[in-house]
Amino acid sequence: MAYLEILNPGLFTSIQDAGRKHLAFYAIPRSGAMDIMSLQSANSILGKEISSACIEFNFQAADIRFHGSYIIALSGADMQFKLNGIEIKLYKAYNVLPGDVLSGSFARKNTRSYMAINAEFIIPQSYDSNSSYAPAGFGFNGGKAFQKNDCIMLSDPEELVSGHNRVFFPESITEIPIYKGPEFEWLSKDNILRLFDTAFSISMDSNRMGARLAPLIDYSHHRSLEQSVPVLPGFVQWTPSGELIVILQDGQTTGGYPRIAYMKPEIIYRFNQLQARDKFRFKLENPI
Amino acid sequence: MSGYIEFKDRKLKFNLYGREFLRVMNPEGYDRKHEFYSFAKTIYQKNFEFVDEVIYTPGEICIRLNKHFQDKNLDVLQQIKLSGKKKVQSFKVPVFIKDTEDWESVCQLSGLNRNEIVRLLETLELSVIMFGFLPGFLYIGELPEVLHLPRKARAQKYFEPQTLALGGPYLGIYDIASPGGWYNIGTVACSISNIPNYPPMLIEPGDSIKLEFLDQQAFEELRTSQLNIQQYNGIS
Repeated sequence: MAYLEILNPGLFTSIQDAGRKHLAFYAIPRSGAMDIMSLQSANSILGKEISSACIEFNFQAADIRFHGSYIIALSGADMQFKLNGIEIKLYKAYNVLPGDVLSGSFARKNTRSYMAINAEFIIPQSYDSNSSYAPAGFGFNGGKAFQKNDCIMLSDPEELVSGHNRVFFPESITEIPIYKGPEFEWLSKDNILRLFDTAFSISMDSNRMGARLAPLIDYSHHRSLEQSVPVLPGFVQWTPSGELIVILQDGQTTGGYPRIAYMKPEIIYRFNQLQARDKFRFKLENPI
Repeated sequence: MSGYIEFKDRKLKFNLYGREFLRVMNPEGYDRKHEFYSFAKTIYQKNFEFVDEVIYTPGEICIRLNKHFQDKNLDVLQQIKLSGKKKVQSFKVPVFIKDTEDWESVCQLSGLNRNEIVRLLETLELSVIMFGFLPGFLYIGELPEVLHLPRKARAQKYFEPQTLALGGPYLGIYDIASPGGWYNIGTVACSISNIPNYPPMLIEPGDSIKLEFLDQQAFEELRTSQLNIQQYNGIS
């Protein structure tokens, strides 16, 4: 049987698709690709259903040996991918043969890359999704990130139609449009000035649940919510320490911090491509 | 955009945030009759084309909208009728009180000793408030104020599955392993969730809970039997 062998797991590498829908009612987050546009692009190049599962690389590529003949396509962050030591391009389809090795390095720009393949991953599905979600043990290997020597079984190669060419290149972004959240008015005038004057970056202790932002903003006027309230990916929470946390794909569905702002899904995908060293500012938008 | 949704004899205020999400507020903030929960569940179960997600808390329902949403869909929400009163299920929840390092803080913060707390918990008729935090987590309310404890300043990295904990005004059950910022006081002998099957939870908001305290031997025997909470309570 054909499979992928993980020679070097990279960082937090996992299998993701468009995620689990309509389950936040039961506190099950959607999960799925951190940059769905790039996942769709990789699938699109191969002519696959655009939400199909891909391998998601974060910050650093994994090294993968193919045990079967397939076609792959890569998208998203430039991780200097190589096939058998020869540099290959993003947004292009490549044939791979048994024994071929895909390798890469750290992302030069952006943070998430996707590898689509003309096959299905033969892994457990939970609620119609292949996406890994570690807290509930969903997905390949109980939702854990890839480990060295992991093997991922593959279906037979699929016949491909020509690509859909719905290709999206993650552009750099230095201005993140946000909208007033339910508790925006709790911010003082000084808080608001600081929110839009500060050059923020994403802290290293962020994960798929949430992005912690640095630096802190003032907390002297912070008020606490009396009870937990609903939260969605893209909500910007203001913690008592003055830290801002953006809820992401694996984020919890209720929270106890004021929701001062939110970003639209198409912005979250671009936000998720920011590196820790990338500085950005928030820009207040008015909803239509 | 904001307005009111007429629901039964009440006016529920809503706020629409662009075309992204809709918040519906419960003016009473607390859902004693479980009607607000039933309203949320009805929206969830209707599976409207314009709705991606529904999240319920006693004070607020949040509805994630999608590209199909139009203003006229607000009328659809106005017309929601509950099919009947929520059937409140009563659950006996078997627990084993453990020697955890959190007991010292619980006693200090409440001013009660461990036996007094267990005796108090034994007498209470508790009520499930909401799902939230993580899959398999249950917020249980109706605790007396003496057991309302401030959450820990620093969350513990690991709570084992089925941990019973106190935090804020709630008792919580962590049905799957997770980090936790509450005070670990014991373990539940039966699973309260059905993950990864559907529906994922076997108990829901509005259901009533009575804790049943087991000794270690009874707890271990019951745990070995791997009954879930519905089977334990004879609910099919």
